[in-house]
Amino acid sequence: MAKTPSHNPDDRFYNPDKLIKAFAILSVLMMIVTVWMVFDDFGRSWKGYQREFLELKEKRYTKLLQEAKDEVDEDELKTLQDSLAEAEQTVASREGQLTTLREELVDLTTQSKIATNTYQARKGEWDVKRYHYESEFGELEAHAFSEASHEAPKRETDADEEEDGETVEEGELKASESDEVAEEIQAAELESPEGNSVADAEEVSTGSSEAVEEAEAEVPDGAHVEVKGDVKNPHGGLHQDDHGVSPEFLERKQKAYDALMADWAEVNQLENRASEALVAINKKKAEINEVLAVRDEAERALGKFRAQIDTLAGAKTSSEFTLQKLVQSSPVIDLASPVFKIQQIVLPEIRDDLFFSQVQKVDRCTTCHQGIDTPGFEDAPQPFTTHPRLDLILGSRSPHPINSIGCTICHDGRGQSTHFTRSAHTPQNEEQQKEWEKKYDWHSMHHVIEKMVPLQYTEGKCRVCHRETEYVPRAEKLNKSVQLVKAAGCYGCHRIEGWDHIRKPAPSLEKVKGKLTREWVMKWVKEPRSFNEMARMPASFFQSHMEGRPEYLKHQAAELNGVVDYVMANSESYQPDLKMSRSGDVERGKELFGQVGCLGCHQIDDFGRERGRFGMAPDLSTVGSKVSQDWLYQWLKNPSHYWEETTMPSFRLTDSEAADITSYLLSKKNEEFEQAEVVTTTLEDQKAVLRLYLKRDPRMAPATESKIDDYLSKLESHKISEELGKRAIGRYGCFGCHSIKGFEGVQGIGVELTEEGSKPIGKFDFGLLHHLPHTKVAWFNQKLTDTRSFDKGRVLEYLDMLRMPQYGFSQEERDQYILFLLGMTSEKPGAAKVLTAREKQVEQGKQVIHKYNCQGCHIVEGMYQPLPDDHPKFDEHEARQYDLEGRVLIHYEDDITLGPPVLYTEGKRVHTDWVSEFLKDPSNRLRKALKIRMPTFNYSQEEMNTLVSHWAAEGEVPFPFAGEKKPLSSREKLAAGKQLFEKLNCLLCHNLGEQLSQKELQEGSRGLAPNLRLSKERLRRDWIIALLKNPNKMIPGTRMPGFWPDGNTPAPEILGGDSEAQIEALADYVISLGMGQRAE
Amino acid sequence: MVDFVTETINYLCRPAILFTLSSVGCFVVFFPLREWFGKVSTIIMLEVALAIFILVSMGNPTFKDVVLKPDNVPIVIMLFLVLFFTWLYVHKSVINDKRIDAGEEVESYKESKQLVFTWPDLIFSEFVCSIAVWVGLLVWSICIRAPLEEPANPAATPNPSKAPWYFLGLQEMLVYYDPWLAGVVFPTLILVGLILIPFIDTNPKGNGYYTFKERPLAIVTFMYGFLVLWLVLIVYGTFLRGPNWNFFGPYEPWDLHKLEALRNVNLSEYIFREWGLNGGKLPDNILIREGAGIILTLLYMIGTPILLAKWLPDMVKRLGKARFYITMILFISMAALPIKMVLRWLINLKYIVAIPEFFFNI
Repeated sequence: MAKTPSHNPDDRFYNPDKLIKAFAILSVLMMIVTVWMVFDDFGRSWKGYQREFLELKEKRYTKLLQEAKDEVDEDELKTLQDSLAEAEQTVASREGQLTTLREELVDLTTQSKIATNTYQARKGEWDVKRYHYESEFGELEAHAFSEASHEAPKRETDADEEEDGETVEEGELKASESDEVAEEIQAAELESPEGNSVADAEEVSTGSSEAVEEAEAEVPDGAHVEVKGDVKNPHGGLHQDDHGVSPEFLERKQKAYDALMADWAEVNQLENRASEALVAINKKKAEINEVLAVRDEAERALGKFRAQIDTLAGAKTSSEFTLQKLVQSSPVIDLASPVFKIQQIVLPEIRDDLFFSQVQKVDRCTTCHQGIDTPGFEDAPQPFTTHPRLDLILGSRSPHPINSIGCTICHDGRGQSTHFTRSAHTPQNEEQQKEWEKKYDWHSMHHVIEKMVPLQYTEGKCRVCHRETEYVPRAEKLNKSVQLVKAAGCYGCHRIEGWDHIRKPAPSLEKVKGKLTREWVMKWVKEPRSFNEMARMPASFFQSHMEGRPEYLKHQAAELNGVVDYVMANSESYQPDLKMSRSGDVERGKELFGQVGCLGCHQIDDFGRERGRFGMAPDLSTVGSKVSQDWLYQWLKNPSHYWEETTMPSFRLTDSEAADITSYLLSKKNEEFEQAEVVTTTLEDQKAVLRLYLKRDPRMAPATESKIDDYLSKLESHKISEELGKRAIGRYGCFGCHSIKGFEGVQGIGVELTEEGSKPIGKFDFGLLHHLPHTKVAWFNQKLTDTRSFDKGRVLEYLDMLRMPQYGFSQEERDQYILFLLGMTSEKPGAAKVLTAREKQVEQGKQVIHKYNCQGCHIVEGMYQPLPDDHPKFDEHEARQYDLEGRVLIHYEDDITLGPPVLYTEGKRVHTDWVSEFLKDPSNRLRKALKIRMPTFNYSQEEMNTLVSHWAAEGEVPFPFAGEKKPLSSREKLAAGKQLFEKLNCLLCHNLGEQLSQKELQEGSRGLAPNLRLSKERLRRDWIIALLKNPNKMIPGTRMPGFWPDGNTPAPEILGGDSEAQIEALADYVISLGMGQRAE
Repeated sequence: MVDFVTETINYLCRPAILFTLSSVGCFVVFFPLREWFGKVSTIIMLEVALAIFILVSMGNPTFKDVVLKPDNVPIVIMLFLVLFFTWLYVHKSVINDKRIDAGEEVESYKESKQLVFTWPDLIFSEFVCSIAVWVGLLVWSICIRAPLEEPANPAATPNPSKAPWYFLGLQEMLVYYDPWLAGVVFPTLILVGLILIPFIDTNPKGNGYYTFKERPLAIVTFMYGFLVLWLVLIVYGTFLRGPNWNFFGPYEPWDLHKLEALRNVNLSEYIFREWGLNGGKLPDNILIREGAGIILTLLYMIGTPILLAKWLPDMVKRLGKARFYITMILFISMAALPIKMVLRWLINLKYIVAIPEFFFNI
């Protein structure tokens, strides 16, 4: 050991000096590295953010505090302060009395403490005694009691079994045959003559239990169930010497019990004394308070006055970074009570899928995003910015409070991380990426599967929870995407769960021969946008990936011809019923086209093309080069004649109107398209392609040249084209959008999109496009930019080439798609929205509305819910409803009351029966001066019911939706109503169904408001009342003036100037106008 | 020029070439070049050359990604350390061999003969070393974050799926042998063999000092097994095996879609199909079909030790029969790996004995 240090260096193998030097150097290094480690561990970026946020908060509260102070009424403050000073003086003058009282209180408190202590000590002792008593005597009784009650139900069945045997009289049982039980319930043993009853009992009993039963039956209370029961003689005729219950035992028990009870009385007394002492104390305190009352009250008044300032001052102090906080948050010391802490939201209902298990989501985003749910930091820099639309998301009173949804259910990313890069932030674009790389040393987290969704696509994630709704209320961006996906018909080829009910997106081709010529179809299919740049149909042939493959271009021509031949050959013949007998006026047709409502769905260059390519119905700017006069005339008069399933309604056009519009539309031609040449092919080319198909046909497998030759030689030559066409249609998936004979019920050719957003990145084929960033967003964007581009540079067989047709989406449209697709995930959060029965009804109605494009003319979406007038966001919310984009209303921008009526609050407004009648036949018009017509739709009865009940459900009308009781108004009230009706000159705008002159219709406003005779049939009384109170709230933008602004009456002489009564009277009068008359 | 160099290096790194080169290199270093290798200037030159090679190669993105991957850092460190410690041994053994030849005492004579104090000589120096290791580990853990990946997903396994670095040699063996051999029998033999060394090797020479001349066979056998059959294979598994366990040169991008034609042929297929025995048909009887392979294997496993015993009667005498045969069986098991590798590269041999019916392939 060290005690034998040797001076002879030979004794030491190593040189000790060197070792010690090494030790010294390494120790210093170790020290440095340890300190480095502690600081490396300590210096987390989130602490810096929290520190910064403290400063921000301090600044904000200082400002608010100053503002609050500035607002304070100095005089009132002075008065309150003065009265406090005065009160304090009063109290000071009674100081002597107070001192005495306080001294007395001290005495009383001491006494009370002694009394309480004595009582508690004594009670403790008594509890011990009770425990001893219970364990010595009580357990036995409790056991017997429970045995007995446990067997009770069994006895009845046994008794039933004895029916025809000798009846065993209760009480006659001798329990000796069931010794064990009997021992336990000695006290219950019965006196009974031995003899046949025992035998009887033996006959019927299966064990000892019955004996207990019988005993219990005889001694219903049980001898010892109650402690206070008569122990000495609990029940008649006990065998007291039996089974160990000796009289001595019972006596001992009784004695013990008596002693216990005697003690209890003493304990009670002590408790009482302690309570009395407390009462005395309270009394004394009250006396003291009485003296102090004046001062307390003055203080309270002042405090109330300064409450806001005090709160703000407190908030300010707590956000100051003091020296104490600095010390508290220094390394190691911050163990105890850190100032900067990781904040986390734990969400038990939302789970993270770790493949082998699901764990509850934990989001720590708020550790840095400190101001996310606090209003007032809207303009603060990131990460402190307040979340937009707190009334909808994250606000505590919003439908999505932060504590129940967290962050990553919408944004994705790693919620547990508190580091900028490692929480998998995703930049919105390259510019931001560069900025982040510079600022945060950002890089993509390769191993994180659910990286954050780029901010501009986040809204798509609403769908994760809102699965059952096609259009999610208030998610405007997402809804536009959904509209686009539907209009472009993606679901035709790509299945989307929940969309199976939607009709195929393109017209049926089952009668196409009667509508179009082969030549037109050939040119159209080759490049639909050469016919009309707004054509919705994508192009399948001659696309980018065919470049540099001349052989394949020939194949394309062969297939294109085949497809058209097949479609034409498999079309039924069709002849219009009607013939256009007169020539139409083009100018008049144009005018009518703009007036009657065609623009609700269609667009045409003469009236602007704001809807773009993916509106509800085709762009008609070049339709004259497409259809024949008779077909178009027939179609306008009765669309379902050609196609039963069409959603195009009838506008009830007269012959001349139909002829005018037909002439107008036929004048819209595309000369260039008409002159274009049709792609031709040869039989040999077609055969060559058909060979390729046959080689892969499973029915031919294994295919040989001779087998294929054999097959081809059996086909008639004109059948070859059709045969090829059929296979090409199957491959390109034309049947996904169009109904084509021979393809009924065939699944679309595309990948299912239901969970596309969760597909791992490795499952996307980037082909040879190595320059693309390896992200889903980049892949979707590339696919939608050029659907065939992933074939570029690859060596592929013809039939292996990509086949998704080319849409030519704009960047904006592509972004909408990406938003939609990223929201189609496989997540199934427990917090997902489940529709109530009422909401489901509304949703189904909405689906019908969108099918028939009601929203093309009316504003109907459920996005509108009237807000209370005092709602802070009222203006913003109202403004959003005027989004006229994509609606016919855009043509009525100057005065939307001249367009189709807005259907706000429709559910609360109308009677269900009336809606139903009106929708069936809207020819009886409410507002005669309106040029636009409500067309007659081709609804099924089921759709009609859905639509009607959806409105009632939306208006929260109680079920059943019809028949509200109308209170009978008194004659006087009706008279007053009539007076008001005349005074307010209602008939200036409204009419009573009378015939209006042409002049009135054109110049006056009488045709613009509804016929009031229909009110009884049509309107709900509550709604009329609400409308009269504040018309703009029920129908924003209405012409109807409010006559009772803020409850002030315009006619103080009627009904004593009581606004409420006046409104009711007027409503009743309006309803009474329809009495005795039926709707025409 | 750069292309030519990178292409050449990529080419030289192909398994057949690099493995052959390193096998030959192992013997060259230990026989003709031993004295040169043992010089101080050599090791400085080699370590610096290795460092320069790695640094210069960092210009290549693939190389940089692979070398700087946190999981691979220990292997890079290993390269330097193994080179150094191999040199250290050669360096000292060259000195000692000279002394032994001159009849002098070996360098560490004192260490091996004299008694030293546990405290402070042993404990204290160990303590100092442990501090040095601690400092190293701390700096490492501060500078390089733990390379954590996504939660394990049974539906999406990583590609390539790699074993921990110290098992990559075993994983590389799977290329040449069936799992039951490469994954079960060989690892067991390695462990058993290592355990048996003290019992087999009773020769006291070399105890406590470095020497080569006194133990050339034992040392070269062990060094070949360790350096070439274990470490070179680890280097393969770490740096040169990419997606789908395909071979990638150090500068070749790891392309998921790289294809390699699999055209390996079993011995029985050679015999019956290629050479046309039995009219080109594989016999139905498994034993006949695989007869040649079975006989070859048995000959190799049983015949070789017996032959060796005949050729090396001195050794049999020195070790005793039991020790001799155990040693030889272990030795030929070790040699089986390079033999199979060479067969694979030369004649695309898949299995010597292929009985997939019973999952028995050699």
